[in-house]
Formats: sequence, structure tokens, C-alpha cells
Amino acid sequence: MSHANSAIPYTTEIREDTGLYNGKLGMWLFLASEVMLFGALFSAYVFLRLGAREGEWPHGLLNIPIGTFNTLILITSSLTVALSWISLKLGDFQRYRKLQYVTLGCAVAFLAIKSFEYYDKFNHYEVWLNEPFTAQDHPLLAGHAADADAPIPSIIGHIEGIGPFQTLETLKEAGATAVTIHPDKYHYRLSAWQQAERNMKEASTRGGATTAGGEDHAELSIDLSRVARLSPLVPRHSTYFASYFTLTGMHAMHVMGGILAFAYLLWPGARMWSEDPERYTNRIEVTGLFWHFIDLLWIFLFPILYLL
Amino acid sequence: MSDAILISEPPAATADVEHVLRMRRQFLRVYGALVVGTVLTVAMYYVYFEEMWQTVTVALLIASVKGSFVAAVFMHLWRAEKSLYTILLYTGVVAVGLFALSVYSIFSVPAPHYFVR
Repeated sequence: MSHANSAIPYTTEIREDTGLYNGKLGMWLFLASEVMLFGALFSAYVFLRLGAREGEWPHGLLNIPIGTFNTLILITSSLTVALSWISLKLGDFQRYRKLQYVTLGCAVAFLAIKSFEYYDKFNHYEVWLNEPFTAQDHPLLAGHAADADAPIPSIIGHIEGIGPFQTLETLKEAGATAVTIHPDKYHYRLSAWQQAERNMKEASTRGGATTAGGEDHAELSIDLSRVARLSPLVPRHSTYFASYFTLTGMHAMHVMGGILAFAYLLWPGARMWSEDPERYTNRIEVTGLFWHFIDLLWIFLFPILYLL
Repeated sequence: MSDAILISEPPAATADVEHVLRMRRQFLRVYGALVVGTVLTVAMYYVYFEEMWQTVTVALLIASVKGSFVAAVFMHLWRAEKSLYTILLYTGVVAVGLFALSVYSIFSVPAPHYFVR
């Protein structure tokens, strides 16, 4: 078979039957399969979320400012991808290259921030107690329940001196008899609006100054004989975190794939610009479609996982 | 990187420069809308709603508007070819069917709390 016969047709010219060049059609078919993949994951999440008992689904365990910042980073990268394609359309390769540097910078920053979030969760523990505390029992636990008399069956915070991924069993095997935890100020037993109300109330009683972080670094020692279960905020912690890591992990892998594709096109693959600029521009367009899809996913993941 | 790559030249002789510049303006406007949408989404977190479903509805409504902007403008679906709409129609039917099945099955689960912890 000659090279001419084996070459992929319609790389730049439009097919009459589809009205598209082949690369674009192929990318859209791939994105359709991606919609099926993430559609299945999202519907599983909806199923689990709606099936959760009232008050059982964790709230407020993800860092909203960091999630918001990451959202803005991803939106910005979508803009720079679109503008870089425009630059190629106008024949300005230099500008395209600068914009793609920004895209890659945003993508790497997104992953770096996500890694930081993951690492924080690996080192953040929930400790379930055999006999629950109440907020009145211990001043450090004020704010861990909506009412002062409400039972507090577990405490979330950083545990001193232990690394990530520990369990009650591994701690006992290591000879530990107690853990020192630095409880978070609030955790998921307060709904989003309860937290907001509490913040506003505190701000008004303290002349406008919020107390965020004011108490979270106090420490509380708990004997391991009082502990029923201990888990970092990893998939085995709860259905919520299993869903969180599956969805964001899958999304992060797509971000990595996008970085590889853009990096290839920006460096070794850029030779095509001098040989066949229109085909190269089309490659950027279809890779851009993939990138915008990643952005689209995050637009839904952010409110679902961080805010609801 | 060789100098040949850096030579700037219009890639397509037929490129409608005016049309391309109009698209660039659209991209910038959509970017502004997405930033505003993100701020609104986060602001919604601090708004008190009586019921959970109201919070979910507002949050997903804002996300859907943002997602529509990305799909329509960044992904050029606003005036796409018919073949693309056909692909998306089939995809949408399957995706919506999946969600419908999930929501429907909720009503036949005897003990929902089995799914948490």
C-alpha cells in the first residue's frame, strides 16, 4: 500500500457527508464516550447522595476558597486555549506559543493545588468515639454540633505525630495508647447555612472580626480505649470521600492527558506548523475541545462536591 | 525549536479575519460570564434556603448556564454541523436515561442508609 493511500484523509478539507474534518468528528465521538463515562459516575453519585440518611452526608470538609481558585484557574486555561487557536487562525505562532505556556502553567497549577488538597486529606482524621461527647463536655468542641446538648460521636482534625493513612489497628500495633487531635472548628454536622449563620453571629458578637481558625489548633488528648474507629479522609472513610476521590481523580487524569497533548503539540509536534499550518491549527482546535470538556466537567464537579 | 516554526503566516488563505476577531471578543465575554458565574456559585453557598433541593437546584442551574456558555462558544456548538447535533442527541438521551434510572431506583431502595459508611 502506498503512503498516499494509507494517509488519513480529510485532515483539513471538510467531508461532504459529515460537514466536518475527520479529526473534529473523531474528537466529538470520543467526547460522547466521555459523557457516558462521567454520566455514569455522576448518576452513581446522585444515587448515593439522595440515598444518604438526613445529616449523614459530610459537609464543609473541603476548602472552598482553594476550590474556587482552582475553578478560576481552569476557566482561565480554557480562555487561553481558545485564544491560542485564534492566534493560529491569524497566523501568529509566537502569540499562540505564549498563550499555551499560560495554559500549561494553569494546568500544572491546578494539579499542584489538587495534590495539596489530597495530601491534606490524607493527614486529616476523623475519630469516632465509643461514648459521644457533647459540646458542653469539653470547651474545645464548641461549634462541633448545631446545639450545645447534641451528641458529638466523632471529632475531625489533625492528629499529632502520625503520618497519613493510619487506622486504629495500625496505631495499636505501633504501641500507641492515646492520640492528640487538633479538632477542626466546625465539621459536617453543621449544614452550609448553619455554618454561615454561626460565622455571621460570631462576627457580630466580636465587632466584625471572625474567629475562623481561632480555635482549630487547640489540642485534645483521647485515649485509644475510647476510640471506636479512626480514619483519614480517604476513600475508606465514607461514601462521600470514595465519590470525591473517584470523580476528582478521574478528572485529574484527564488534566494530565491534556497537558501531555498540549506539550507534544507545543514542542515536538510544532514542526507541523511550518509544513501544514492548517492541519496544525485543526489539531489545536480538537485538543482544545478536549480541554474545554475538562473545564465543563469541573464546572459541575465544583458545586456538587464542594458546596452541596 | 527551529526558526522555521516561528515564521508567522496565515494558515488558511480563506480565513475570515473579521469573523475570527469577532470570535475572540465572544471568548473574552464568555470568560467574564464564567468568572461572574463562579462568584455567584460560591455566594450561593452562604445564602439561606429552606430546603436542600432549592440549594441543589440553584447551584445546578448556575453550573448549567456556565456549562452552556463553554459548550456553545468555546466548543463552537452554537452553530455547529448537523452531524454533531445528532451525536450529541444520542449521547444526551443515554446520559439523561442514566440519571432517570438512578433517580427512579432511589424509590425502590428499602434502607438508604446502607450506602453511607
